[in-house]
This record gives sequence, structure tokens and C-alpha cells, in this order.
Amino acid sequence: MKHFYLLIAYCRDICFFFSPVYLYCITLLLPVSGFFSLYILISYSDPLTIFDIISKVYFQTIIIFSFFQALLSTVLSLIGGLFLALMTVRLTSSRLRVFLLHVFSLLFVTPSIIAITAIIAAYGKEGYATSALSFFLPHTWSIYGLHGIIFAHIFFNMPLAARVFFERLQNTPIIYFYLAQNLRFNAWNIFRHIDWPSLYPTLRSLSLIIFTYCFTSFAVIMVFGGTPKYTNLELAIYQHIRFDYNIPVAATLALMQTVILFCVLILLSRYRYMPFKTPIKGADLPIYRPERYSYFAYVSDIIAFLLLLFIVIVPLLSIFLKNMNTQFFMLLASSYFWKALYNSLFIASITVILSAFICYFSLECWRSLFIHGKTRLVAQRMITFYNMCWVFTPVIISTSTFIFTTFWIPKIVYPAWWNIVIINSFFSVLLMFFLLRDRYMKHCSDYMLLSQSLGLTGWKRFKIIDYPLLRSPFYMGCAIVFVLSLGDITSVTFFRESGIITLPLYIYQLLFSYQFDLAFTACLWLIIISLGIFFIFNLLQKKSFYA
Amino acid sequence: MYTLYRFTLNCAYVLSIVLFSLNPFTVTAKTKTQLTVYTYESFVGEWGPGPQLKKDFEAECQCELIFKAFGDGAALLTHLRVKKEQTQADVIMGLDNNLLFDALNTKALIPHTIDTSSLTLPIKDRIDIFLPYDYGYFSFIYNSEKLPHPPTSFEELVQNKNIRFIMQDPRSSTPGLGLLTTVKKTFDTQAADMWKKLSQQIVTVAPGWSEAYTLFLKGEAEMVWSYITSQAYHESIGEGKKYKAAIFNTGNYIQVENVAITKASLKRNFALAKKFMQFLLTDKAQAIIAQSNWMHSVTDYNEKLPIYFQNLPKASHTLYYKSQTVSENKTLWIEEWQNAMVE
Repeated sequence: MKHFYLLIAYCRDICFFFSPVYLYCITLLLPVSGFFSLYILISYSDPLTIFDIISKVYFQTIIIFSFFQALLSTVLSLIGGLFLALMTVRLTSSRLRVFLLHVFSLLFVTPSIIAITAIIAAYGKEGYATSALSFFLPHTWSIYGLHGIIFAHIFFNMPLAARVFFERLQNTPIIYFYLAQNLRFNAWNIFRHIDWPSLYPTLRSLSLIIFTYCFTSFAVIMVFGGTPKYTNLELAIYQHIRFDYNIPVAATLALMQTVILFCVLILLSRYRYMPFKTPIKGADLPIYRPERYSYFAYVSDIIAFLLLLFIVIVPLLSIFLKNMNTQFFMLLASSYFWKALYNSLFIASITVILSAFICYFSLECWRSLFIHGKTRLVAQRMITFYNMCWVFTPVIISTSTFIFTTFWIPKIVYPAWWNIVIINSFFSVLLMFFLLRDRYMKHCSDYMLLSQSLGLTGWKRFKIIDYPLLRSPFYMGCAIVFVLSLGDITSVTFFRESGIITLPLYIYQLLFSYQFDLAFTACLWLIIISLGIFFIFNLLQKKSFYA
Repeated sequence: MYTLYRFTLNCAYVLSIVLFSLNPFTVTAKTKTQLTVYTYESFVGEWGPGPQLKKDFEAECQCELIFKAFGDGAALLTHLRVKKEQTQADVIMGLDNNLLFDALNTKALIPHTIDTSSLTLPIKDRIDIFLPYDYGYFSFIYNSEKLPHPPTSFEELVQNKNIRFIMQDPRSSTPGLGLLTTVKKTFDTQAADMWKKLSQQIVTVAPGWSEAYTLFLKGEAEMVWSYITSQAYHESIGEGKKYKAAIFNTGNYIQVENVAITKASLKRNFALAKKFMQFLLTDKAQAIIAQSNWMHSVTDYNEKLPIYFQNLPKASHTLYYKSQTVSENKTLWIEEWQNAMVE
């Protein structure tokens, strides 16, 4: 091992592997590829059709509707997430807290087919919750309609909001609470004067992510919407590229969607980064909350528990109860299942390695820009650019990659799964950057002077300072990204001509061959594997190299 | 202990690197002549006809049959449009009757010159480039335990407001387009009015067939838009006659799946491609296709199919549009449907 480090050290001297210039290039990868895909779309779009499209009543309806439902879903997800985060932070059992955080992370990255099945198993016409609650529900009640769409969106996004909020709440300096007790703050005052100011800075980027997600998720909107009244631009893009092969119109629509999302971004973009105040702790450490036993906290916890019960626990339990059948273990005998699993794990592993690499360098670059007064503005702009990348949805990136590979570089031969890896990495880096930036910033402000005084740079700093201390959040980010890539269906739909079977594709194959029981079993296995991955990464982060 | 721990960890690293360097998608080395067939996803799946066809054909031809899966028929067409004569495929399998006109326009396909006298298809409209290998009728499937008296026409369906059904979106799925063409063919200029009435009874418009059928089986609706042959599947797995096809007296729209030889195969193995197409019409292949794709056979093998195929209700008459008509009017019809549903 010693020789290996020496070799790396020599390499560093020769090729400036860790020099800032190199770092900046890697950092640019993400926005550049995003805007390059936008450029591809512009070059293929047909501006004249824009007026044609806008003048149609149908499009006006769906744009207004998309906007409205996305706004409502975002606000409700944020409110729900707030309650959940407050409850999680007040939990006394650290194990339960860690488990809940895993489930929260899992839900955001659940493939839509699983979420749909879970919600139907609970709240469908013959769902468990529907029959249990039949006394309270009106006779004509059905999950389909605007409330169904919003419910499904909350199912996906409330846990993400809760996770991000929890991270901020957990790291409130304990001294604040001592002060609050001296000032005889009640629970509401604590929330108003301590929690809210620390949550506020995350609200803008979080609401942008959730808004984009809700604005563009078409499978959920279609299944729960009921009629084509509830649909969005994303479906129209998909239709034009996959069925009609009308690339100019698809590109134009994609462009329109991007423009709308940019407008939302501009409304939300007055983002100023606010660093953490204290050293960041692990989620399994005890958290001091003086208001834990007040009435206000009880009421808020009951609301959070009901939200958790009805939105998270009931659907997840129902999917297991409803679809657990004799074929649960029989699936394991299928060689196709293993092949699909292997391919999925392979693609996800490569994605995670690639995105962890890019993310680390992006964070490092951003940090080094931020700490110098002169370049702080550049760092703020960099965050804005990274936020902008959220408006490029999977369909948009996949469409432009599709155009790029088929028309721009048709002669270059390379394995087609690289397309999938690259598309997945784009979103993985984005998500990881968003989840890790606060922690990384805090870590660096705590240890930068120490490492400078010890003369630790590059690889050595990574090995001695960064890796041991950042391992835990980094592995958590990796786990989320891994599961995201495992359940990806959009990019695989665009590039599956290469003959790759992944686990979500395998599920669709089974469904199309009428093997519904097996398909749901595969869904259950996908959930179990995803949870397993969280636990493996959780174990990894505990094992220390200095043990 | 520490050394052992480090040792295990290093071993794990090495092992993972070795595992990852073994690319799971490598193609096996060329030994025999290869025939490349591009088809849709569910065809080559574990439960699709692909694996069994491959085994049987390889035993006959002493060659290697390679199936490559694209998403669906539309994705196959996109591939043809992009690659044209440069395609690596020798045979394209799975283009349905609505896509034929566009596929013809790519000029990447050539006539198959196979004797089609054994075909017993209900429609006689043929293009000498495409060889049909299976067909099916679209229809509503209903749960007979919940709906003892199914409607027999669209008018009856519209009158009984208690019956609710699930359909697929015509913009993203073939059966969805099937319902659109059925209504258009049956009601022509009144189609928009019919859609307005039908829209009251739609539970949801699912993105694809699999989502729609899943929802139906979970009890979300009394009926779902699918194929008549879906009934045969349920009977074959011993679900008795719970799920049945509702036959409307106005007729059923037909879907014919076709196979074609590419121009690119002329340089490689046109003869083998032809042999494969001939093989598809044999009883052996028709039996596999009918029973794992759940479609009717295109030859007189139909009569020899198992009892659950014989029990299927017959379509009162066949509804059909020429491929060119669908291709030219599709956008208009979809717009008409959208506007009717939104109002």
C-alpha cells in the first residue's frame, strides 16, 4: 500500500493531477453538458411551431394544470417534510432515526412503477386502507384525480424534504437551546427563532427540485390523473420522439419546458449559501431538544406520525402484504433475474464511482472558490448554475444524448451502456452535490487551517483529513445515487436497443408477458435490494481504516 | 486481526476490479453464421417466444440466431428511420399494421419472396415486403364476477354509467391507438361525441398496456382495453372464466404483427433470413408464438391450438384501416380525442 501512495505522490508531481486547473475543468462538466444538450435541442427545434403549439387550447390547459399541481405538490411536500423532520429530530431512539432516514432516502429514488403499485395496493378500489377507512370515506371516493396526483407526489418528495430538513435541524448548535431555555422559549418560539432560520436557506433549492420533479413526472400524472386533462409536456416530448419520430417538435417542446422551468428558477434563484455553525454530527448521536415533551411538540409529532403512517408506512406495507406470494423465492431460480440484477448493479456501480469522483472535485472547487473573498461571487454563481441543471429532466437529457449519438457522432463505436451511465451520472452528481455541499463546506471550514498548517494537500489531505471524516455522508450520498441508478427507467428506455436488461426493464418484460405475480415479486426484491444497499453503505461507513 | 482485516479488504478490492473488468455485455465469439433479428422487448424476455424460437431455429439451421431487443414496435421503426441501410439487423420483427406505411418509407426493407398461400388472416390487404406472423383483436376484457352482463356495444357501455374502464394513452401505447382507431372506424364523424360520453366512464388513462392491465387486475375497474386473446391466458393458468373478452357487435379492430428482411441483409445472409421467415410459418414456430405472445396464429394452425384458444369468442367482424390512412390522420385523431376528453 505504501508504494501505491508513493506512486500517486509522484504522479501528482508529474501530471498535476490535483492541481486546481484540472479541478475547474471537472467542475464545468455538469453545467457544460447540460447547456450543451440545450444547444442540441435548440439546433434541432423548429421555432415556427412554437406559436402553433401555444395557440392550442389543449396545451394552454396542460401547462396551467402542470404549473398548478406542481406548485400545490411542492408546498404540501415541504410542509409534510417539515413535520416529519421535526418528529425525526425529536426521536429518542437513534436506531429508529437512522432507519427512518434510510426509508426517506429510499422513497425519493423509488421507481415510479413501484410507487404506483404501492399506492394502489393501499388506496386503490380494493386497497387495504380503502377498505379499512370505508366508514370515513364517501361512497364514490377514488384515488384518481388531482388528489391522487398530489398524494403520489407527496409520497415521493415529502421524504426528501424531511431528509434535507433533518440534516439542518440536527446540527443546530446546542448553545442555542441553552439560551432558549434561559429565555423561557416555548416550543413555538424555538421553532420560530431557532429552527426556521436554519431551514430557510435550503427552501429555495429544495422547492426547485421538488417543483421540477412534479412538473415533469408523467407516469404518475397519467396513472392517477384519470383523464388526459391531467397530463404534461413531458409526455408530449416522449410521444413525439418515440412514436412519431418528430424530432423538431419534440425539441421545441423540450425547449418550452426548459424555458418555463427557467422562469421558476429565476423566481427562486436569489440563493445565498449559509454555512453551518457547528461541527456536523452523525445521525445516530443523541440530539438535544428541550421542547420534546411540550404539548406543541406532541401535536406536531402526532400530525407527523399520521403523515408517516398514511403516506409512507401503509403503502409500503400494503405492497408487501398484497404481493407476497408463492413465487417470492421462485424468482431467484430464474437466470434472467440474476442477469438483470447483475447488469443493474454493474451500471449502478460504475455510475456511483464516476459521480462520486466528479462530485468530490466539484465540491472541492466550489469550496476553494468560496473561501476566498475575491472569488466568492463565482462560487455563488456556480451554485446557481448547478441549480439550473435541475431543469434538465431525464427525458430532456436522454433526448439530446439520443440526438447527439445518432446524428453527431454516428461513426464512433462504444458500448451503449455508457450512454446510460453518463445520463445517470448527470443526475447523480447533481443530487450528491446538493446533499453533500453543506457538510463539505462545514468540514472544510473546520479542518482547512489544520491541514494547511500540516502541509497536507491533494491525495494526502484526502486520505488523512477528508476521507475519514466525510466517509459517512459520502457513503450515504453514494447509496442514494446507487439506488437512483438501480431503478432508472427513462434512460434505459432510450438506449435499450443495445439489448441490455436491467431490473426495472425485466419487471416491464414480465408485465408484458402476463407474469403479473412474478413482476410484483421482482418489485419487492427491488425494494429489498435497495434497502439492503442502504444498509451495506451504512455498514461500510462504520468500518474504520484505523480500527 | 488488523492484518487479516486489511487482507480481506484488499482481496475484496481485487475481486471487485476483476468482476467489473469482465464486461457483462460482451458478445460471444463468432463461430457460426449469424442471423441478427431486431425485435421488441417482451418478445425476447424470459416468458416471451424468443428463447424457445432461438433454440428450435438454431437446431435446424446450424447457425446462430441473435435477438436484439428494442423498446417496442415504434422504437424499431425509429431505428430503421435513423440507420436505414446501415442497420446491423438482417430481420426486423414486430412491426404492427399501423407502422407499415412509415416502415415502407424508410426504404430499408426488401420484398421477402415467400409463398404466403398458407396464411389464413382475416384481412387480405398485403404488402410483399411484410410477412405477418401473428395477429389479435383488440377488445375490452371484463371481470365476470363483478360484471355478469357485459355491454355488447359502445352505446350500451355509455348507457350503463356504473361500468368504468381503464384505457391506454394512444400517444404512448399501441393498444391505446387501437381503441382510438376502433372508435374512429365505428363512429367516424361522431367519434368526438362518443369520446365525450366515454370520458365519464374512464377510471384512468394509463401510459401503457402493462400499467393498465395491472390496475385492472388489482380491481380498479370493471373493464380494461386489451386483446381478445387475454382471455385465453387467464383460462390457461386455471383462472377459469373469471376474465372474459367483451365482444361488441360493431366489430373489433385487428392488430397484425409483421416481420421483414432488411436491405442490409443482402450483403450478409439474405438466404438465411428467408429461411427464418419460412420457419416462422411452420406449426412449431406458430405454436410457440401463439402461446407465449398470446396472439392468434396466422396459419391454419389456429385450429390446432389448445382448447383455451378454441374457446375464445369470435370477432363479429374485422375493423381495419390502411396503414397509410393511420399514418396520415393519427395526429388529427389524437387531437380530436384530446379535445373531447378535456372538455
